[in-house]
Amino acid sequence: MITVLEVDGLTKSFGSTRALDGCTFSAVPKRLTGLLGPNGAGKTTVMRSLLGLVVPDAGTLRWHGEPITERTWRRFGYMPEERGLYPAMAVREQVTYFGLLSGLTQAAARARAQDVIGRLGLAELAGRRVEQLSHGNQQRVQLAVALVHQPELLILDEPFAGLDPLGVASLGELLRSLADDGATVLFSSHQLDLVQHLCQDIVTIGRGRVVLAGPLERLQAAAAGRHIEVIFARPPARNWQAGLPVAGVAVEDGCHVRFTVDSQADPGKVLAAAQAAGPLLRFDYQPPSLEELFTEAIAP
Amino acid sequence: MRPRLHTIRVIALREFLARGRSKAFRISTALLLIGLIVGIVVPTVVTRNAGRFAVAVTASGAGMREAITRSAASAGITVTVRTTASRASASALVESGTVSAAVVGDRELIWKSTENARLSAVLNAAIASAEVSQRAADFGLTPGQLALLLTPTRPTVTQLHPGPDRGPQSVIALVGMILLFIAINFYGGYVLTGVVEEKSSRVVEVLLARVRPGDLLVGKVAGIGLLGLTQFAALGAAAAAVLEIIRPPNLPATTLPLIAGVVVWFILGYGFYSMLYGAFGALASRPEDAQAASAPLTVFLTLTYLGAFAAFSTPQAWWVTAASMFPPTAPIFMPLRASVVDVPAWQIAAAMLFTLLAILVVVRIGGRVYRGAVLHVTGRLGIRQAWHLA
Repeated sequence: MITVLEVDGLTKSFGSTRALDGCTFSAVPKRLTGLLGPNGAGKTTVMRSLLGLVVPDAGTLRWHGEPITERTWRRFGYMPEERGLYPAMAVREQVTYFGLLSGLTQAAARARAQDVIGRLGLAELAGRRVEQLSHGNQQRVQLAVALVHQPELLILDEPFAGLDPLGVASLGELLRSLADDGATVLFSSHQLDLVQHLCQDIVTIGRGRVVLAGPLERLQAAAAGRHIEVIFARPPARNWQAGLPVAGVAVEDGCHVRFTVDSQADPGKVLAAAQAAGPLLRFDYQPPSLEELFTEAIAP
Repeated sequence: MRPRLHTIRVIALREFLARGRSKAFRISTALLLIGLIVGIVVPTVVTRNAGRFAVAVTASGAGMREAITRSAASAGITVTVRTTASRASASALVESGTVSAAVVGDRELIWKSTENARLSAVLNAAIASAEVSQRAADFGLTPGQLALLLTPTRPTVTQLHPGPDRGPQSVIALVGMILLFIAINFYGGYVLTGVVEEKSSRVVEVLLARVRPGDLLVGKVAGIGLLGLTQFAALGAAAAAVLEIIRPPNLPATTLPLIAGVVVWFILGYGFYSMLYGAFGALASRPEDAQAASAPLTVFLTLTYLGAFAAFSTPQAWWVTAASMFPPTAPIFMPLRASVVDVPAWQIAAAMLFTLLAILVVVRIGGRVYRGAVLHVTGRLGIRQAWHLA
């Protein structure tokens, strides 16, 4: 994997508040990277720093090994958390305008605007003013504005906030297909199940520092425990899991048993022990969820 | 440099079109156009008719017709004299408004209601002159002797410092100054609201992810300024067309240079104040706060404007000279001063140069305040805070 985006030692204070304190992570193309963190952790400051909206106090930002400068920003697409468009400007005109501001020629900006408007299902609304559109459609226009110049890096601050389930699904698909086309996608979200479902890579920020970062699968694999969930056809034999490396207390509710084993435990042995205790309806062997990893990582 | 110019051009064009298409702009342009045309046509028509009168005289006053024509000519007005048969018919003509006044016999004047001062003077002089002629004839004087008696020799006049008559010119200068003040306020206000709107609609963050804050401000100022000049040009063309059609008297030859001066000072004054309006606008987060944020600027501009009125009566005062050289006040004071007194060319050039330099300073300072404040979207910032945030 080639690392294209490198953030190294990013530090920024606003007055006496230290927003970022040596934040270091990287991102690779064709993958979705989820930027996580509680409110006020510094996610937006990281994103704004990448786009030159915030001047860091220290640290380096690199894109393809080169320091990020004004020239680089034009290769990035950005959707801020506080959505912003010209309310009285028509959709097509607006998307074209931002294409022009990204350095496209008039003809290229028009063609790209047409293309991205079609791709986002806004073709029929292209002549309407933004203020006349529904919230969901305004969000799509915002995304069209971020995509019009075919950015290599897409930075989206809470892109799923305020979308209905259908909107979430279609945006997820779109981000996936943009990544498949070669883009690097970095987005922040508080919807951890969604991030777990969509992203291959995770960067978690807590109090201005990166507390957990890397490919999600590897992070899960490296976690200490595995969750076992078993449903028996009839109440199982008592203490059937006694020989297993159980961590913590098992939760038993009749036929339904949940517990955590050490990550080193052999799933085959756990299954064999369960089968010996009674007939099975279901057997789950899962690494910790992103939510658990997140909670553990940001715990004080 | 080229991508930045491209960006500034794109931003300026959007501002130009978006503002130009707005209903507020179209209505204000239409109102200004109507005001301008009315302002030119009405005084011209009024003054044109003000010097034309019709007067009835009765047949009994034989020498009266000539006396009135002579008296009117020396007073610089045109009087058409109409002869009527009797006092009754003369009175009827006055009553119907066909004539402004009637002279019955050689001693009576009939008016409809109040007397017109200019015509009254002419008619009284004519009556007196007719009477003097009559008496002179009675005394046996020939008309030549009478003329010699009544025509005084004009005294020799010496002007120690002859200068052109600046009356009409100063009226144009005054109108120009008022227009300048309105235009700087009006277009500066556009920049102010434009900045605040972008901030309150949060589009500014999307913009600044692509363009530098300074370029955004310069593009905005340039686009709105261009719109102002276009409006000026349209109004100027309309004024020129109207003047060509009605040809008012007393238009000084210096009108065009005066208008050109006003346009140049508009560009300089607008350049200076609009950058400041942009910076002050960035301090506010909501449109409601914009007026309060820009209050220091508005107050300063208004004081300058009022000061310029005072300067009008004492254009030679030292403080007027100083104000016409000081960049923030020069755009209002210099064109006014230059039109009412002779200002050395070097002073005008220096004032323009100082103002240009001041614009460069304001672009830097205003740009930095703007950069520091524009992403701060909650509440109102102070200039110092914004400066340190940039």
